[in-house]
Amino acid sequence: MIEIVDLTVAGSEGVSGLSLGARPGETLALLGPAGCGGSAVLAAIAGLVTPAAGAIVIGGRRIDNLAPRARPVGLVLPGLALWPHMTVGESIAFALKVRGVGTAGQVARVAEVMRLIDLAPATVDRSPRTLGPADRLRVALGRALAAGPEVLLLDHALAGVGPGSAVADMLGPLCAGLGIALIVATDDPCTALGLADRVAVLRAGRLVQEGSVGDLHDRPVDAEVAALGGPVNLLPVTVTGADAQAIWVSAPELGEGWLPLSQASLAVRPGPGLLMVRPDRVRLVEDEGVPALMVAWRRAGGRWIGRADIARGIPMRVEIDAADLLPAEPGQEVMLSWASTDAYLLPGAVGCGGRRSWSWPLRRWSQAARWRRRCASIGPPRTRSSRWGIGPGRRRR
Amino acid sequence: MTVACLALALPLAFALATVWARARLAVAVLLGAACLGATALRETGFAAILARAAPDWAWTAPWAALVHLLMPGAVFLLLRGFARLDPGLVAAARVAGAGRWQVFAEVTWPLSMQAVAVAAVLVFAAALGLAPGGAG
Repeated sequence: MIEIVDLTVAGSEGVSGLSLGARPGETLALLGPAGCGGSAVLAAIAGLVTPAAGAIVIGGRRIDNLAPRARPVGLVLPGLALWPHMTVGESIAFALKVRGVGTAGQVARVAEVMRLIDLAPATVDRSPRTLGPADRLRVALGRALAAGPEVLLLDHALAGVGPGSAVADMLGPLCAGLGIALIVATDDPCTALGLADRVAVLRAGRLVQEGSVGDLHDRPVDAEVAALGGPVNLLPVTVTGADAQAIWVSAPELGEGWLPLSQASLAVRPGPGLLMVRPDRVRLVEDEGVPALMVAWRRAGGRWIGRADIARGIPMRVEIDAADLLPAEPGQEVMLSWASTDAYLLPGAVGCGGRRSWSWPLRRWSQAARWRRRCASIGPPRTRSSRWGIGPGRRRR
Repeated sequence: MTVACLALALPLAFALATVWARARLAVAVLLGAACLGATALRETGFAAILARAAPDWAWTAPWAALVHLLMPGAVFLLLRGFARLDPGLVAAARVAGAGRWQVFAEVTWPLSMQAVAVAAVLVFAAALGLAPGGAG
Protein backbone atom coordinates (compact mmCIF):
# COMPACT_ATOMS: atom_id res chain seq x y z
CA MET A 1 0.00 0.00 0.00
CA ILE A 2 1.52 3.28 -1.06
CA GLU A 3 -0.01 6.67 -0.45
CA ILE A 4 1.26 9.97 -1.76
CA VAL A 5 -0.23 12.99 -0.01
CA ASP A 6 0.05 16.51 -1.36
CA LEU A 7 3.46 15.83 -2.92
CA THR A 8 5.36 18.80 -4.32
CA VAL A 9 8.67 18.40 -6.15
CA ALA A 10 10.43 21.58 -7.22
CA GLY A 11 11.78 22.13 -10.72
CA SER A 12 10.46 22.69 -14.21
CA GLU A 13 9.58 18.99 -14.52
CA GLY A 14 8.31 18.66 -10.94
CA VAL A 15 4.79 18.30 -9.56
CA SER A 16 2.68 20.34 -7.18
CA GLY A 17 0.10 19.16 -4.66
CA LEU A 18 -0.25 15.63 -6.04
CA SER A 19 -2.21 13.01 -4.07
CA LEU A 20 -2.33 9.43 -5.32
CA GLY A 21 -2.37 5.89 -4.00
CA ALA A 22 -1.96 2.27 -5.06
CA ARG A 23 -2.98 -0.90 -3.22
CA PRO A 24 -0.76 -4.01 -3.12
CA GLY A 25 -1.09 -5.91 -6.40
CA GLU A 26 -2.55 -2.90 -8.19
CA THR A 27 -1.04 -1.22 -11.25
CA LEU A 28 -1.19 2.57 -11.46
CA ALA A 29 -0.03 4.42 -14.56
CA LEU A 30 1.15 8.05 -14.52
CA LEU A 31 0.36 9.17 -18.05
CA GLY A 32 1.51 12.43 -19.60
CA PRO A 33 3.95 13.92 -22.09
CA ALA A 34 7.68 14.12 -21.33
CA GLY A 35 8.30 16.57 -18.48
CA CYS A 36 4.77 16.28 -17.04
CA GLY A 37 6.13 15.21 -13.65
CA GLY A 38 5.71 11.42 -13.72
CA SER A 39 9.45 10.80 -13.48
CA ALA A 40 9.73 13.34 -10.64
CA VAL A 41 7.08 11.44 -8.62
CA LEU A 42 8.94 8.16 -9.07
CA ALA A 43 12.30 9.76 -8.20
CA ALA A 44 10.73 11.19 -5.02
CA ILE A 45 9.34 7.78 -4.03
CA ALA A 46 12.71 6.12 -4.67
CA GLY A 47 14.57 8.84 -2.74
CA LEU A 48 16.60 10.22 -5.63
CA VAL A 49 15.12 13.70 -5.15
CA THR A 50 13.89 15.35 -1.97
CA PRO A 51 10.30 16.58 -2.21
CA ALA A 52 9.66 20.22 -1.31
CA ALA A 53 6.46 19.28 0.52
CA GLY A 54 4.10 16.39 1.15
CA ALA A 55 4.33 12.87 2.50
CA ILE A 56 4.95 9.42 1.02
CA VAL A 57 3.65 6.50 3.07
CA ILE A 58 4.34 2.84 2.27
CA GLY A 59 2.69 0.17 4.39
CA GLY A 60 1.72 2.70 7.08
CA ARG A 61 5.29 3.97 7.45
CA ARG A 62 6.37 7.39 6.29
CA ILE A 63 9.41 6.96 4.03
CA ASP A 64 10.09 10.37 2.51
CA ASN A 65 12.77 11.17 5.10
CA LEU A 66 14.58 7.81 4.79
CA ALA A 67 17.72 7.12 2.72
CA PRO A 68 17.07 5.37 -0.62
CA ARG A 69 18.48 2.11 0.74
CA ALA A 70 16.01 2.02 3.64
CA ARG A 71 12.94 2.27 1.38
CA PRO A 72 11.08 -0.89 0.29
CA VAL A 73 11.12 0.30 -3.32
CA GLY A 74 12.45 -1.06 -6.63
CA LEU A 75 13.04 1.28 -9.57
CA VAL A 76 13.61 0.62 -13.26
CA LEU A 77 15.10 3.72 -14.90
CA PRO A 78 14.63 5.02 -18.46
CA GLY A 79 17.03 3.19 -20.77
CA LEU A 80 17.18 0.53 -17.99
CA ALA A 81 20.64 1.73 -16.73
CA LEU A 82 22.10 -1.78 -16.60
CA TRP A 83 25.69 -1.87 -15.33
CA PRO A 84 27.89 -2.82 -18.32
CA HIS A 85 30.67 -4.31 -16.18
CA MET A 86 28.45 -6.85 -14.39
CA THR A 87 26.88 -10.09 -15.57
CA VAL A 88 23.14 -10.75 -15.33
CA GLY A 89 23.65 -12.72 -12.11
CA GLU A 90 25.83 -10.02 -10.53
CA SER A 91 23.33 -7.30 -11.45
CA ILE A 92 20.42 -9.16 -9.84
CA ALA A 93 22.52 -10.09 -6.79
CA PHE A 94 23.74 -6.49 -6.28
CA ALA A 95 20.93 -5.47 -3.92
CA LEU A 96 21.63 -8.57 -1.79
CA LYS A 97 25.42 -8.08 -1.86
CA VAL A 98 25.24 -4.51 -0.54
CA ARG A 99 22.91 -5.72 2.22
CA GLY A 100 25.49 -8.27 3.33
CA VAL A 101 23.72 -11.46 2.19
CA GLY A 102 26.16 -14.41 1.88
CA THR A 103 27.13 -15.99 -1.45
CA ALA A 104 24.89 -19.06 -1.02
CA GLY A 105 21.91 -16.84 -0.20
CA GLN A 106 22.64 -14.64 -3.22
CA VAL A 107 22.80 -17.63 -5.62
CA ALA A 108 19.54 -19.08 -4.31
CA ARG A 109 17.69 -15.73 -4.52
CA VAL A 110 19.05 -14.98 -8.02
CA ALA A 111 17.76 -18.36 -9.25
CA GLU A 112 14.38 -17.67 -7.65
CA VAL A 113 14.11 -14.17 -9.14
CA MET A 114 15.16 -15.39 -12.60
CA ARG A 115 12.39 -18.00 -12.46
CA LEU A 116 9.89 -15.28 -11.45
CA ILE A 117 10.79 -12.98 -14.35
CA ASP A 118 11.01 -15.88 -16.80
CA LEU A 119 14.69 -15.44 -17.66
CA ALA A 120 16.59 -18.51 -18.93
CA PRO A 121 19.06 -19.83 -16.25
CA ALA A 122 21.80 -20.04 -18.94
CA THR A 123 21.93 -16.22 -19.18
CA VAL A 124 23.15 -15.81 -15.60
CA ASP A 125 26.81 -15.43 -16.63
CA ARG A 126 26.21 -13.34 -19.74
CA SER A 127 26.58 -9.59 -19.98
CA PRO A 128 23.23 -7.75 -20.25
CA ARG A 129 24.63 -6.03 -23.33
CA THR A 130 24.47 -9.31 -25.27
CA LEU A 131 20.74 -9.77 -24.60
CA GLY A 132 17.74 -8.53 -26.59
CA PRO A 133 15.57 -5.61 -25.38
CA ALA A 134 12.94 -7.83 -23.73
CA ASP A 135 15.55 -9.83 -21.79
CA ARG A 136 17.38 -6.63 -20.82
CA LEU A 137 14.10 -5.38 -19.34
CA ARG A 138 13.76 -8.69 -17.47
CA VAL A 139 17.25 -8.19 -15.98
CA ALA A 140 16.37 -4.65 -14.88
CA LEU A 141 13.13 -5.98 -13.33
CA GLY A 142 15.03 -8.76 -11.59
CA ARG A 143 17.50 -6.25 -10.19
CA ALA A 144 14.63 -4.14 -8.82
CA LEU A 145 12.75 -7.16 -7.40
CA ALA A 146 15.73 -8.96 -5.80
CA ALA A 147 15.45 -7.31 -2.38
CA GLY A 148 11.69 -7.95 -2.20
CA PRO A 149 10.23 -4.43 -2.52
CA GLU A 150 6.65 -3.47 -1.63
CA VAL A 151 6.47 -0.97 -4.49
CA LEU A 152 7.92 -1.35 -7.99
CA LEU A 153 8.43 1.79 -10.09
CA LEU A 154 8.87 1.76 -13.87
CA ASP A 155 10.11 5.08 -15.24
CA HIS A 156 9.51 5.04 -19.02
CA ALA A 157 11.07 1.57 -18.96
CA LEU A 158 8.72 -0.14 -21.42
CA ALA A 159 9.69 2.15 -24.32
CA GLY A 160 12.01 -0.49 -25.80
CA VAL A 161 9.57 -3.41 -25.81
CA GLY A 162 6.11 -1.99 -26.49
CA PRO A 163 2.83 -2.62 -24.68
CA GLY A 164 1.84 -5.93 -26.29
CA SER A 165 5.03 -7.88 -25.62
CA ALA A 166 5.24 -10.96 -23.41
CA VAL A 167 7.29 -9.17 -20.75
CA ALA A 168 4.75 -6.32 -20.48
CA ASP A 169 1.88 -8.80 -20.21
CA MET A 170 3.78 -10.70 -17.50
CA LEU A 171 4.24 -7.59 -15.31
CA GLY A 172 0.68 -7.12 -13.99
CA PRO A 173 0.08 -10.75 -12.91
CA LEU A 174 3.62 -10.98 -11.48
CA CYS A 175 3.17 -7.94 -9.23
CA ALA A 176 -0.36 -9.00 -8.31
CA GLY A 177 0.97 -12.43 -7.30
CA LEU A 178 3.72 -10.92 -5.16
CA GLY A 179 1.45 -8.26 -3.65
CA ILE A 180 3.59 -5.45 -5.04
CA ALA A 181 2.07 -2.10 -5.98
CA LEU A 182 3.28 -1.26 -9.49
CA ILE A 183 3.57 2.38 -10.60
CA VAL A 184 4.40 3.01 -14.26
CA ALA A 185 5.30 6.46 -15.60
CA THR A 186 4.81 6.61 -19.36
CA ASP A 187 4.09 8.99 -22.22
CA ASP A 188 2.45 6.25 -24.29
CA PRO A 189 -1.35 5.91 -23.82
CA CYS A 190 -1.28 2.35 -25.23
CA THR A 191 1.14 1.26 -22.48
CA ALA A 192 -0.87 2.99 -19.76
CA LEU A 193 -4.28 1.74 -20.88
CA GLY A 194 -3.03 -1.75 -21.74
CA LEU A 195 -1.13 -2.36 -18.51
CA ALA A 196 -2.74 -0.41 -15.69
CA ASP A 197 -5.79 -0.92 -13.47
CA ARG A 198 -5.95 2.80 -12.82
CA VAL A 199 -4.54 5.73 -14.74
CA ALA A 200 -3.57 9.19 -13.48
CA VAL A 201 -3.24 11.75 -16.26
CA LEU A 202 -0.67 14.44 -15.49
CA ARG A 203 -0.20 17.72 -17.29
CA ALA A 204 2.55 20.19 -16.36
CA GLY A 205 2.94 18.72 -12.88
CA ARG A 206 -0.76 18.65 -12.00
CA LEU A 207 -3.24 15.81 -11.81
CA VAL A 208 -5.84 16.24 -14.58
CA GLN A 209 -7.85 13.06 -14.10
CA GLU A 210 -7.53 9.86 -12.12
CA GLY A 211 -9.69 6.83 -12.71
CA SER A 212 -10.03 3.36 -14.12
CA VAL A 213 -9.07 2.64 -17.73
CA GLY A 214 -12.80 2.53 -18.54
CA ASP A 215 -13.41 5.94 -16.94
CA LEU A 216 -10.63 7.49 -18.96
CA HIS A 217 -12.01 6.03 -22.19
CA ASP A 218 -15.72 6.68 -21.64
CA ARG A 219 -15.75 9.71 -19.32
CA PRO A 220 -12.67 11.85 -19.98
CA VAL A 221 -12.48 15.23 -18.30
CA ASP A 222 -11.61 17.18 -21.43
CA ALA A 223 -10.84 16.78 -25.14
CA GLU A 224 -7.11 16.25 -24.59
CA VAL A 225 -7.70 13.33 -22.22
CA ALA A 226 -10.33 11.96 -24.61
CA ALA A 227 -7.70 11.71 -27.35
CA LEU A 228 -5.50 9.57 -25.06
CA GLY A 229 -8.20 6.90 -25.03
CA GLY A 230 -8.01 6.44 -28.80
CA PRO A 231 -9.58 8.07 -31.88
CA VAL A 232 -12.51 10.29 -31.03
CA ASN A 233 -15.18 12.39 -32.78
CA LEU A 234 -15.69 15.85 -31.29
CA LEU A 235 -18.75 17.82 -32.39
CA PRO A 236 -18.91 21.51 -31.43
CA VAL A 237 -22.21 22.22 -29.63
CA THR A 238 -23.66 24.97 -27.47
CA VAL A 239 -24.63 24.11 -23.91
CA THR A 240 -27.88 26.01 -23.31
CA GLY A 241 -28.78 24.92 -19.80
CA ALA A 242 -29.16 22.19 -17.25
CA ASP A 243 -31.65 20.93 -14.68
CA ALA A 244 -31.54 18.21 -12.04
CA GLN A 245 -31.50 15.32 -14.52
CA ALA A 246 -30.41 16.59 -17.90
CA ILE A 247 -28.14 18.97 -19.67
CA TRP A 248 -29.46 20.76 -22.76
CA VAL A 249 -27.38 21.25 -25.87
CA SER A 250 -27.97 22.56 -29.35
CA ALA A 251 -26.01 22.45 -32.59
CA PRO A 252 -27.03 23.52 -36.10
CA GLU A 253 -26.62 20.03 -37.53
CA LEU A 254 -28.02 18.11 -34.55
CA GLY A 255 -30.83 20.43 -33.50
CA GLU A 256 -31.89 20.74 -29.89
CA GLY A 257 -31.31 17.81 -27.57
CA TRP A 258 -30.50 16.71 -24.07
CA LEU A 259 -28.13 14.32 -22.33
CA PRO A 260 -28.43 12.69 -18.90
CA LEU A 261 -26.27 14.58 -16.37
CA SER A 262 -24.12 11.45 -15.95
CA GLN A 263 -23.08 11.84 -19.60
CA ALA A 264 -21.37 15.18 -19.11
CA SER A 265 -17.98 16.12 -17.68
CA LEU A 266 -18.16 18.02 -14.40
CA ALA A 267 -16.20 20.83 -16.04
CA VAL A 268 -19.02 21.60 -18.51
CA ARG A 269 -20.40 25.16 -18.24
CA PRO A 270 -23.08 26.94 -20.27
CA GLY A 271 -21.53 28.09 -23.55
CA PRO A 272 -19.44 26.22 -26.06
CA GLY A 273 -19.00 22.50 -25.52
CA LEU A 274 -17.83 19.40 -27.37
CA LEU A 275 -19.91 16.30 -27.88
CA MET A 276 -17.67 13.22 -27.85
CA VAL A 277 -18.59 10.01 -29.66
CA ARG A 278 -16.13 7.13 -30.09
CA PRO A 279 -15.90 6.00 -33.76
CA ASP A 280 -16.96 2.40 -32.98
CA ARG A 281 -20.22 3.67 -31.43
CA VAL A 282 -21.30 5.61 -34.51
CA ARG A 283 -23.90 3.63 -36.50
CA LEU A 284 -25.10 4.13 -40.06
CA VAL A 285 -28.91 4.03 -40.04
CA GLU A 286 -31.75 4.29 -42.54
CA ASP A 287 -33.62 7.17 -40.91
CA GLU A 288 -33.70 9.38 -37.79
CA GLY A 289 -30.06 10.40 -37.84
CA VAL A 290 -27.62 13.18 -38.68
CA PRO A 291 -27.31 13.50 -42.46
CA ALA A 292 -23.75 13.11 -43.74
CA LEU A 293 -21.82 12.46 -46.93
CA MET A 294 -19.73 9.27 -47.00
CA VAL A 295 -16.22 10.22 -48.17
CA ALA A 296 -13.99 7.14 -47.99
CA TRP A 297 -13.37 3.77 -46.40
CA ARG A 298 -10.06 2.13 -45.63
CA ARG A 299 -9.17 -1.21 -44.11
CA ALA A 300 -7.02 -1.12 -40.93
CA GLY A 301 -6.36 -4.57 -39.49
CA GLY A 302 -9.63 -6.16 -38.45
CA ARG A 303 -11.72 -3.01 -38.97
CA TRP A 304 -13.07 -0.73 -41.66
CA ILE A 305 -12.41 2.93 -40.93
CA GLY A 306 -14.67 5.36 -42.72
CA ARG A 307 -14.95 9.11 -42.99
CA ALA A 308 -18.30 10.84 -43.31
CA ASP A 309 -18.62 14.62 -43.45
CA ILE A 310 -21.61 16.21 -41.79
CA ALA A 311 -22.73 19.77 -42.52
CA ARG A 312 -20.14 22.57 -42.26
CA GLY A 313 -17.51 19.99 -43.28
CA ILE A 314 -17.10 18.41 -39.85
CA PRO A 315 -15.49 15.00 -40.44
CA MET A 316 -16.81 12.02 -38.46
CA ARG A 317 -14.77 8.84 -38.07
CA VAL A 318 -16.74 5.61 -38.28
CA GLU A 319 -15.37 2.17 -37.43
CA ILE A 320 -17.07 -1.13 -38.22
CA ASP A 321 -15.96 -4.73 -38.01
CA ALA A 322 -14.23 -5.99 -41.17
CA ALA A 323 -16.49 -9.04 -41.20
CA ASP A 324 -19.54 -6.81 -41.87
CA LEU A 325 -20.50 -5.64 -45.34
CA LEU A 326 -19.78 -1.98 -46.07
CA PRO A 327 -23.09 -0.19 -45.42
CA ALA A 328 -22.49 2.67 -47.84
CA GLU A 329 -20.37 3.53 -50.86
CA PRO A 330 -18.19 6.67 -50.92
CA GLY A 331 -20.17 9.60 -52.32
CA GLN A 332 -23.44 8.29 -50.91
CA GLU A 333 -25.69 10.25 -48.55
CA VAL A 334 -25.95 8.46 -45.18
CA MET A 335 -27.53 8.97 -41.76
CA LEU A 336 -25.34 8.76 -38.64
CA SER A 337 -26.68 7.87 -35.22
CA TRP A 338 -25.51 6.86 -31.78
CA ALA A 339 -27.10 5.89 -28.49
CA SER A 340 -27.46 8.78 -26.04
CA THR A 341 -25.41 6.78 -23.51
CA ASP A 342 -22.51 6.59 -26.00
CA ALA A 343 -22.23 10.37 -26.29
CA TYR A 344 -20.39 12.37 -23.65
CA LEU A 345 -20.26 16.12 -23.23
CA LEU A 346 -16.90 17.82 -22.72
CA PRO A 347 -16.16 21.44 -21.81
CA GLY A 348 -15.39 24.23 -24.20
CA ALA A 349 -14.05 24.71 -27.65
CA VAL A 350 -10.37 25.38 -28.04
CA GLY A 351 -9.47 29.06 -28.10
CA CYS A 352 -6.74 31.46 -27.01
CA GLY A 353 -8.88 32.81 -24.14
CA GLY A 354 -8.67 36.19 -22.45
CA ARG A 355 -8.84 39.63 -24.01
CA ARG A 356 -6.46 40.37 -26.83
CA SER A 357 -4.10 43.25 -26.15
CA TRP A 358 -2.12 45.22 -28.70
CA SER A 359 0.90 42.92 -28.16
CA TRP A 360 -1.14 39.81 -28.92
CA PRO A 361 0.52 38.90 -32.28
CA LEU A 362 3.94 39.39 -30.74
CA ARG A 363 3.15 37.17 -27.77
CA ARG A 364 1.70 34.46 -30.01
CA TRP A 365 4.87 34.58 -32.09
CA SER A 366 7.22 34.29 -29.11
CA GLN A 367 5.07 31.50 -27.67
CA ALA A 368 5.42 29.57 -30.92
CA ALA A 369 9.16 30.14 -30.93
CA ARG A 370 9.38 28.87 -27.35
CA TRP A 371 7.49 25.75 -28.32
CA ARG A 372 9.76 25.10 -31.29
CA ARG A 373 12.83 25.52 -29.08
CA ARG A 374 11.38 23.19 -26.48
CA CYS A 375 10.60 20.51 -29.04
CA ALA A 376 14.13 20.80 -30.44
CA SER A 377 15.71 20.57 -26.99
CA ILE A 378 13.91 17.34 -26.16
CA GLY A 379 16.05 15.72 -28.83
CA PRO A 380 16.57 12.04 -29.54
CA PRO A 381 15.40 9.36 -27.08
CA ARG A 382 17.64 8.71 -24.10
CA THR A 383 18.07 5.01 -24.87
CA ARG A 384 20.97 5.50 -27.32
CA SER A 385 23.91 3.31 -26.43
CA SER A 386 27.25 5.03 -26.32
CA ARG A 387 29.92 4.63 -28.93
CA TRP A 388 32.29 3.41 -26.25
CA GLY A 389 30.10 0.65 -24.97
CA ILE A 390 29.97 2.05 -21.42
CA GLY A 391 26.25 2.05 -20.95
CA PRO A 392 23.73 4.48 -22.38
CA GLY A 393 25.42 7.63 -23.57
CA ARG A 394 24.65 11.00 -22.06
CA ARG A 395 24.02 13.93 -24.29
CA ARG A 396 26.78 16.51 -24.14
CA ARG A 397 25.75 19.78 -22.64
CA MET B 1 55.38 10.03 -8.48
CA THR B 2 52.45 8.98 -10.68
CA VAL B 3 50.83 7.43 -7.64
CA ALA B 4 51.15 10.65 -5.65
CA CYS B 5 49.66 12.66 -8.51
CA LEU B 6 46.68 10.35 -8.93
CA ALA B 7 46.14 10.04 -5.19
CA LEU B 8 45.73 13.82 -5.04
CA ALA B 9 43.85 14.16 -8.32
CA LEU B 10 41.26 11.40 -7.81
CA PRO B 11 39.32 12.82 -4.86
CA LEU B 12 39.45 16.31 -6.31
CA ALA B 13 38.16 15.18 -9.72
CA PHE B 14 35.46 13.06 -8.12
CA ALA B 15 34.33 15.93 -5.91
CA LEU B 16 34.33 18.24 -8.91
CA ALA B 17 32.26 15.81 -10.97
CA THR B 18 29.68 15.05 -8.30
CA VAL B 19 29.55 17.68 -5.59
CA TRP B 20 30.85 21.02 -6.79
CA ALA B 21 29.13 21.25 -10.17
CA ARG B 22 28.74 25.02 -9.72
CA ALA B 23 32.28 25.74 -8.55
CA ARG B 24 33.73 23.65 -11.38
CA LEU B 25 34.76 26.61 -13.53
CA ALA B 26 36.41 28.50 -10.69
CA VAL B 27 38.40 25.46 -9.55
CA ALA B 28 39.36 24.72 -13.16
CA VAL B 29 40.79 28.26 -13.51
CA LEU B 30 42.77 27.85 -10.25
CA LEU B 31 44.13 24.52 -11.45
CA GLY B 32 45.04 26.02 -14.79
CA ALA B 33 46.90 28.80 -12.99
CA ALA B 34 48.90 26.13 -11.14
CA CYS B 35 50.32 24.99 -14.50
CA LEU B 36 51.75 28.47 -15.17
CA GLY B 37 55.10 29.74 -13.86
CA ALA B 38 58.67 28.50 -14.16
CA THR B 39 59.59 25.13 -12.71
CA ALA B 40 62.68 26.57 -11.01
CA LEU B 41 60.56 29.23 -9.31
CA ARG B 42 58.09 26.56 -8.21
CA GLU B 43 60.90 24.44 -6.71
CA THR B 44 62.35 27.38 -4.85
CA GLY B 45 58.94 28.22 -3.49
CA PHE B 46 58.27 24.72 -2.24
CA ALA B 47 61.79 24.53 -0.78
CA ALA B 48 61.15 27.74 1.17
CA ILE B 49 57.77 26.53 2.46
CA LEU B 50 59.07 23.10 3.43
CA ALA B 51 62.22 24.50 5.07
CA ARG B 52 60.08 26.57 7.38
CA ALA B 53 57.26 24.06 7.99
CA ALA B 54 59.12 20.71 8.05
CA PRO B 55 62.88 20.92 7.67
CA ASP B 56 63.23 17.10 7.70
CA TRP B 57 61.13 16.90 4.51
CA ALA B 58 62.94 19.67 2.62
CA TRP B 59 64.42 17.15 0.16
CA THR B 60 60.93 16.49 -1.24
CA ALA B 61 60.67 20.03 -2.63
CA PRO B 62 61.43 19.12 -6.31
CA TRP B 63 58.93 16.27 -6.13
CA ALA B 64 56.24 18.43 -4.60
CA ALA B 65 56.82 20.97 -7.36
CA LEU B 66 56.38 18.27 -9.99
CA VAL B 67 53.16 16.97 -8.44
CA HIS B 68 51.95 20.56 -8.32
CA LEU B 69 52.69 20.89 -12.03
CA LEU B 70 51.19 17.63 -13.26
CA MET B 71 48.19 17.21 -10.99
CA PRO B 72 45.88 19.68 -12.82
CA GLY B 73 46.25 17.68 -16.04
CA ALA B 74 45.33 14.50 -14.20
CA VAL B 75 42.32 16.24 -12.63
CA PHE B 76 41.02 17.33 -16.03
CA LEU B 77 41.45 13.85 -17.53
CA LEU B 78 39.68 12.19 -14.58
CA LEU B 79 36.95 14.81 -14.49
CA ARG B 80 36.14 13.98 -18.10
CA GLY B 81 35.93 10.31 -17.21
CA PHE B 82 33.67 10.85 -14.18
CA ALA B 83 31.42 13.33 -15.96
CA ARG B 84 30.86 10.97 -18.88
CA LEU B 85 29.45 8.30 -16.57
CA ASP B 86 25.69 7.87 -16.99
CA PRO B 87 24.04 9.25 -13.81
CA GLY B 88 21.37 6.54 -14.23
CA LEU B 89 23.93 3.84 -13.40
CA VAL B 90 24.71 5.54 -10.08
CA ALA B 91 21.03 6.17 -9.35
CA ALA B 92 20.26 2.48 -9.99
CA ALA B 93 22.92 1.47 -7.46
CA ARG B 94 21.59 3.92 -4.85
CA VAL B 95 18.03 2.64 -5.20
CA ALA B 96 19.29 -0.96 -5.09
CA GLY B 97 20.51 -0.15 -1.58
CA ALA B 98 24.18 0.77 -1.92
CA GLY B 99 25.70 3.39 0.37
CA ARG B 100 27.93 6.18 -0.94
CA TRP B 101 31.13 4.16 -0.61
CA GLN B 102 29.57 1.03 -2.09
CA VAL B 103 28.32 3.02 -5.09
CA PHE B 104 31.85 4.32 -5.67
CA ALA B 105 33.54 0.94 -5.21
CA GLU B 106 31.06 -1.13 -7.21
CA VAL B 107 29.93 1.21 -9.98
CA THR B 108 31.78 4.54 -10.35
CA TRP B 109 35.33 3.21 -9.94
CA PRO B 110 35.09 0.14 -12.24
CA LEU B 111 33.40 2.20 -14.94
CA SER B 112 35.96 5.02 -14.86
CA MET B 113 39.00 2.70 -14.96
CA GLN B 114 39.55 3.77 -18.56
CA ALA B 115 39.94 7.43 -17.60
CA VAL B 116 42.16 6.54 -14.62
CA ALA B 117 44.41 4.44 -16.89
CA VAL B 118 44.70 7.25 -19.44
CA ALA B 119 45.53 9.79 -16.69
CA ALA B 120 48.12 7.42 -15.17
CA VAL B 121 49.87 6.81 -18.50
CA LEU B 122 50.00 10.49 -19.43
CA VAL B 123 51.20 11.62 -15.99
CA PHE B 124 53.79 8.84 -15.94
CA ALA B 125 55.12 9.82 -19.37
CA ALA B 126 55.29 13.49 -18.47
CA ALA B 127 56.96 12.71 -15.14
CA LEU B 128 59.59 10.53 -16.84
CA GLY B 129 60.88 13.56 -18.68
CA LEU B 130 60.62 16.05 -15.82
CA ALA B 131 61.50 14.21 -12.61
CA PRO B 132 64.79 15.26 -10.94
CA GLY B 133 66.23 11.72 -10.95
CA GLY B 134 64.42 10.75 -14.10
CA ALA B 135 62.23 8.30 -12.14
CA GLY B 136 58.50 8.60 -12.91
